[in-house]
Order: sequence, then structure tokens, then C-alpha cells
Amino acid sequence: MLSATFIAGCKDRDDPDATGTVQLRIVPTFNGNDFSLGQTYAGRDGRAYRLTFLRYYLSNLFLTKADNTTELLADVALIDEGSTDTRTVSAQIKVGEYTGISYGLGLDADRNGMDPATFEAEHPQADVSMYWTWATKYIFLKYEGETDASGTGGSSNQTYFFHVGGDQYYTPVSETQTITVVEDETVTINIALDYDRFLNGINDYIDVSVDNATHTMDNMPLANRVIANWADMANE
Amino acid sequence: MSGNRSSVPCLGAGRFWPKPGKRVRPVLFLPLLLALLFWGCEPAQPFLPASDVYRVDLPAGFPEMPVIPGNELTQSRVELGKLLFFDPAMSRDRTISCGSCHFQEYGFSDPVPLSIGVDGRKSLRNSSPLVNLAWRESFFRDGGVRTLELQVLAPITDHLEMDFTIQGAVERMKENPQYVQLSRAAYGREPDAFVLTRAISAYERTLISGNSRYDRYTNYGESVLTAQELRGMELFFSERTNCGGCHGGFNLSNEEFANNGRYVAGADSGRMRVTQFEGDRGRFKVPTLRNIAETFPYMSDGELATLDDVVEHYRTGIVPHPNLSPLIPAEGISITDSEKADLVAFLGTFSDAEFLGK
Repeated sequence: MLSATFIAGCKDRDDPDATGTVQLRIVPTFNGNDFSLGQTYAGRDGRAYRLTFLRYYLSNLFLTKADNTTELLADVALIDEGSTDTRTVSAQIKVGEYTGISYGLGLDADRNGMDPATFEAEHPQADVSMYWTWATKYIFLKYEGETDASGTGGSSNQTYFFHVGGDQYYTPVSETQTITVVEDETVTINIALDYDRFLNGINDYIDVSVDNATHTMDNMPLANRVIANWADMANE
Repeated sequence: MSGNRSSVPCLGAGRFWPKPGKRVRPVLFLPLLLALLFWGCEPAQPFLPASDVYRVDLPAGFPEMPVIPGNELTQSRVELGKLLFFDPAMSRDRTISCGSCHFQEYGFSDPVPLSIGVDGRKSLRNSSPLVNLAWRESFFRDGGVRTLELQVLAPITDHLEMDFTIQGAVERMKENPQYVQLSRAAYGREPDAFVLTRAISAYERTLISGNSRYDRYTNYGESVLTAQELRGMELFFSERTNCGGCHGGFNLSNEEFANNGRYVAGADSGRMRVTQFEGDRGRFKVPTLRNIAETFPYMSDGELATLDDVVEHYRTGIVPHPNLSPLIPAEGISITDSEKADLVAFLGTFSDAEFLGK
């Protein structure tokens, strides 16, 4: 009897600490098609592309309310298209009405300054393959692929890669979405990201037969363009 | 000493106490309580027993060694780090250790212009001597790495050097019972990236050199320098050469980055690689001159074979560069052949026989 009352008390709709599960899913596309690493897709420029490696950081993932208060979904996530289960982030979030999602592409300066050897092995920031050991900075984005640069539709003969990172490249993004978190229920939020936008940006087209390689430091102009286009992938 | 066990917070937890009203004979209870204190309250901080403290003999004239929180020097940490430093299992094909390119007799550097990594690959730059690292403010010749702990990641993962992964190196540590036992003793945890980076840097911080003939002369007034070396010393610290302007202080380096007129446009942009600042093009960390006679060949590319070549560079080899150090005259330093010989002789007084194992 006592325990029944206790549980009923927890179910009170007004309980300010009640939570539900929020599952954030990255839903990648490539120019309108469902995306998989290693598949060939046509970009908006008509050229065929095949991505061979794609890994990037998102950080400071929050749900926002109309009054601008926020609830943290995750500090940091490493999306690895070679391992599609990394596309989902889950958290317990206070019940209520939320009006949007905000997150950053890459890592903010504080996170970028952290020591990868201090994280547990499974932590996204323990991944030294996403770290420039000679510069003690994280690589925010590794985007690598192949294309048919001749444009004849033949075999993919041009490889390209963008490895970009640096405090100045942290890019906050926000999206408006109505999200209702109900106690003990799971709500799924989809974030659609179009990977064709890295090349076919809204304002800039990167022709990989011309501009196809940057480790950031060795080709800052291209790194700047990749980052500008990166923000476009969420802006549909 | 931080990290010592404290009994007070453990008692506060209270859940091992008998229930109120239950009678317990004190004599039996006390040992039980003590046992529970130690079993039930595993410290979050690694235990640093006083007997494990690594005592540093600070050479005269050296400032206090900075203490790294979480990586204070202990004997077990240094022991583990030394084993890892010389263990080729830390490279992909188990052929290259840190010690493969950092030999004690050469001041923990490598007597070749560019060191050879796995599969015979050549490194990008000349191997840096490892000495007095606890006092350095940044690492590598471009200063791109902020801490000695983080520096450990670079050679292990660089495909030109050890070409391995941190996860792979940690797995090999876990396969070695001695490493597991030392990891627990030194850091209170199983082998992981933290232990790997902390232990190697702890060992490297013990590579301290400050007992050369130059030090004995300077700090204790011992008559251990020849007349030629004394003439070289005077020249070294004079405004005629300005050598001491960059290579002064207890570690014979001002810790700055400088362009020394080696190239008009070298393939290696030096400090600019890290900062992207044009004013840093061709600037490299001013190296310490400790044991300099043993750390040949010289310069970031290892292209100058002898100290004679180095002094000759400052005399006749300076090429114009927008970032040339203001302490280096564009026309070179003006010295005679015999003064050059004096300078070279003086540079030999920075060799520390004990440090070099000689």
C-alpha cells in the first residue's frame, strides 16, 4: 500500500524532476538518397561520389525551450559512418515541451584543449585517430572519398580528403522542432544531414578535381570552405 | 603528500557499522573496522606511499622542478616509464622503441640526420635530445605540443616513426604482467592511455643534466676549463656573437622560437606549421645546448654534421630571411678562425659525462 502510493506520487504530472527518454538520431542523406558509406551517389553537380571515410564530432547537444532554458542531451558525440550505431545519442530529459535542438559542429575550445589520454577508452574524445598528436588538437571532421573527375561516368579515379579542425571552426547550429517529452516514454528526434552539402554547398561548390586535399594547416583556404559548407548540411 | 588515504570520509559512510543496539565486543570490532576501512574505501586518488617518492637531485642553479598534478614523480612511475621507453613492442611491428632514436650516449638523441622508423621510413626532422624536459614549455621543434604527456602520443602514432595506435600499445601493456603490476602500483589502475602517457613522461622528466664542466666552473668556481674554453665562453656571452642571447639561462635556451637564417624558403615552415602565422615561418624552438657536442648532427634537418659547421653557419652561412632573429647579424658574426675554434671548444664544456653514461 505504501509503495503503491509512493509510485503513484512519482507519476504526478507536475513532478518537476520527472524524465523521459530522448533519442536523437542522425539521419544522413546524400542529395536526397539514404546514405551509406561506400555507396556511389550522384551529387547536385551531377558527378558521382563514393565516400570512403566519414567521422566527425558534434558537441554541446541541447534541447531548448521557448523561454530559452536548455536541457543537455550530450556533451560530445563522435559520428562514425563506418559504425552506424554511433548515429544515435540518448539521454534522460525533463518532461515538457521543447521548441528546438542546438548543437555545435566540432568541439568548442575547452573540449578541443582536453587531453585524449585522460578519457575512458570508449569515450568519443579518447579516439586518437581524430587527434593531431603533433599539434595537440582534435580533428573535427575527416571526410574522404572518390569521384570520377573526368565526368564521363567511368571509374572513380580521383580521391579527395578533408581533415579539418581548430578552435575557430567550431560552428553552433540550431533547429526548430516541437518536441514533447513525456515521463517514461521515448521520443525520437531526427536530424537530417545531407553529406552532399560538403561539396555542393548552398553558396559554394568545391570542385574536387581542383581542390581535393587539406589537413587544415597545409590548405587553410580549402578548410575554411569545407567548414562553411559543413554548416549547410543541416540547413535544408 | 596528496593522495594519502584518509579515514575520516570512510567513517562517514557508516553502512558497515553494526545496527544500533546490537552489542559488539570492542576488541573484536576494532580489527574488523580497520579492515573495512581499507577494503571498503579504495581511494579515488592513486596511493602515493612516501617510500615510493622519486627524489630528484636538483643541479645547482636550476629552479624547482614543476610538479604535474596526477603525475608526481614516484619510483614505480619512473620504473614503468623507463621500461616502456625502451620497449619496441610499443611500435606496430615491435622493432622501434623510443630509445631507438634517443640514445643516452648521444644525449638521448640520434647520431643520424633523420631517424629511421618502422619499415625503414625516415622521420621528418632530426631527433631532439631529451634533457631537462620538466622545465620546457612546449615540445617538438615547432612547439606544437603543450605537455610532455601529450608528446608521447605523437611518435607512437606517427606513420614515419612507430606507426602504431595508442589502443594497440595499451593492449600490449595489458598482455605483459609486469606492466599490469606496475600500472596498479604506480597509478592505481590497469594499463590505459593515461598510464602509457604519464609513465613515459615521468621517466623522461628524470633525464636531468646539470653537472657539466661548465656547471662546475660556473656554480662552484672549479678550475676545470682550459684557457681556450674560457676564451670561447667570453666570446659566447659577448655582444659580438650574441650566442648567449638565445642560449642562456640554466638550460642554455630562452625557450623562444627563432629563425637562424638557414634557408630563404625551406620545405619545413617550422613554427608556422602550428600557428599559421607568416611571422613564424622558418622559426624553430631554440634548442638547449646541454651535451651539444654529443647530439650531432645539428639543426632541425640534421644537415650540419659538426659544431664547426654550426659556428661556420653563424659566421658565413646566414641567408636573408624576413623572420631572421634580430640577435643574428645578416652578414654573420665576425670572428677569426682561432676564435671559432675557441667557441667550438667552449661548446664541449656543456657535456655532462655522468648524464651521458660515460
